[in-house]
Amino acid sequence: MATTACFIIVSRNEIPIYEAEVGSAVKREDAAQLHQFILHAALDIVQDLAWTTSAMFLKAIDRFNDLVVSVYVTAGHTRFMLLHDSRNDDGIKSFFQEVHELYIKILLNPLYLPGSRITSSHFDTKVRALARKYL
Amino acid sequence: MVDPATTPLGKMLLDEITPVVMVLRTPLVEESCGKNGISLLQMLSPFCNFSNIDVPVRTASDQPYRLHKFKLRLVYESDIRHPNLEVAKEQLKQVITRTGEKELSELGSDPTEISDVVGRSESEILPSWFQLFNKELMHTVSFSEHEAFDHPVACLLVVSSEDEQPINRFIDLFNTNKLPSLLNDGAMDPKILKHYLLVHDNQDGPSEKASKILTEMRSTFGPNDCQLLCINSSEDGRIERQDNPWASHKSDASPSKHLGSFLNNDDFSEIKDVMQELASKHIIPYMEQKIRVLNQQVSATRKGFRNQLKNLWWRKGKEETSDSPNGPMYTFSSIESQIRILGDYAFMLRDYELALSNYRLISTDYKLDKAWKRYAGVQEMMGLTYFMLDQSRKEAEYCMENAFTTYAKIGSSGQQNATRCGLWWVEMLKARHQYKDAATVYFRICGEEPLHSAVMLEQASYCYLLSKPPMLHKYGFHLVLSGDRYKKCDQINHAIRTYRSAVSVYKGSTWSHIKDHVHFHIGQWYAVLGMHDIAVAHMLE
Repeated sequence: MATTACFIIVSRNEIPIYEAEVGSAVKREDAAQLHQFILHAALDIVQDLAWTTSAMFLKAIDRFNDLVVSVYVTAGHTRFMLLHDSRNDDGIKSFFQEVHELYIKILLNPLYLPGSRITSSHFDTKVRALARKYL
Repeated sequence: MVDPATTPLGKMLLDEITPVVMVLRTPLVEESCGKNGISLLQMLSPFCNFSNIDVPVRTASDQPYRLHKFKLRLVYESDIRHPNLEVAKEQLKQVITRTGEKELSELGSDPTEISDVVGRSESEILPSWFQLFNKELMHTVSFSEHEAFDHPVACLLVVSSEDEQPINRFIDLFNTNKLPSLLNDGAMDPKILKHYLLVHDNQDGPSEKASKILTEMRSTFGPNDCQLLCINSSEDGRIERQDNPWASHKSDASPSKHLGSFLNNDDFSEIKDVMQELASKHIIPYMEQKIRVLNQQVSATRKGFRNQLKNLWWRKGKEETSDSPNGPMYTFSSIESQIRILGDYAFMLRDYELALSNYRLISTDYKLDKAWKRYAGVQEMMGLTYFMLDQSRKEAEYCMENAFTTYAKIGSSGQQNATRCGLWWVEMLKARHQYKDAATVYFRICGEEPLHSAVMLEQASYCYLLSKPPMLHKYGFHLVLSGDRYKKCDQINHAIRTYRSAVSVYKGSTWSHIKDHVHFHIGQWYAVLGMHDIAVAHMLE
């Protein structure tokens, strides 16, 4: 089942620290740009919504045509944002939780500066594997 | 709470939803007016805007109230028809191209900082041509059968004193063959109020001949409905006015031309008096009278519990009516059309309560009859009436939403109506500072037409900017979307303009794809325009 999905981790000062196209559909050239635009635009809504609820998983917060943006906020206000066209809420929630665990492991690395780009290829492979599993 | 009449939507409604007077005239009349460089319509129009008419009006209730502001719309009979969509689209394109060229000089300067733009009021940051564009877009659906506020309330027949056999000319003018289809097809009652105006050009000679014709007219048509207007009394045709009232009405006037050069002060006040009399002594009382008569009819047949039950039962029993695409045909004599006229007249005379109760009556009827266009039209008016009454925001929004979705549902014939409904809805939301909702509606109005959707997206972006707190990310995103659409229609100036504002939003962000995209495209377009140094600067970013 071909789906489009774009996963981005954004730090608290709105700097993207990790991005990956994890969908299984064929990607077009400008799709990546469009996805970035949509996710960036959704940041406004995330700002306000994050403060109103103590849950970490904010479900679908914004839509554009038929693409939905779902967001998961960590305790340090790092946002995991997923742009997708499927409706698999539970799968997405589990995906976010597993990625959160991976992220915590990265943070535990004393050589990693929080808020900088995640360059570990290990992290990258694991995230993509999780995406294939849950999305 | 802000008085609805002073909001932009209120002003728009008070300007647009006003009684229409159909003007029929002979060619000689146009010639006399043409000496001043304006047509008959242009000559009379500035005097149809009454800011203090002060006429007592008594509609269905027993309480009279005084009407202060009033406006008449004068339209030639050849214009009372569905505007040609292609022509309208061409015109809109011209508006946009012209404004694009005007802004060319600004494109060379640096883009403004985003902190400057945030926090400014609406009038400061919106480009001024949005209003004009929206208005033109709304005019593409004028004079439809399913709405009664565009149907002419009265007819002004104008003949020159130089015409041969003026009495016969008056009768000829109202020849049914040349009248607009609205009157001929039974959509509205062809027996409308007629008023006869004899125009005498003082340049042609003294006015005794005209007075004689006037007495003849009075004996044929009735003493109250005829008037004489003497124009062009100035001897040498070189009157100059400080405040030229015709300039704003003539869209293509060259500034050096002296409009109205033959009309001296006497003429001025005469025209004023004629229009004032027409409005206060003829049109308003006629509308009042009609409202009272219709109201009585409606009360007898529809109001009251028994009547309502009868009506509902009878309607439900009519299951076998054929489902024509436009819904069942309603002629002007059907009770539903009467109620619609009653509602619209009440709206135009500012009696919003009466208008609302009538609109509610026919709303359910049209729904049961599946006459979707009319249903949508009534829902639209209900929303506007709630707004003018300043009551029940949720009801108003619900009605507008209903109208919008219904228009969209009926397919291509309702598309333009949906646009107009959407534009009114947006103004309503903006007047109540609900900018986020307004932006989503703008997004919905975008149809397939790329130029219109470009403008709508840009308006949406400004709404996001104006919302509190300002949603800058959305602002930037919609600017980029609209820039892309502008580029698709070859409006490069506008594309650059929107992208420039977007650049200031994305300055300092690290989202690489976004920045690349914006800078690359804007650089490319500057290069197309020939401003190469700016183009290169952007490309290097």
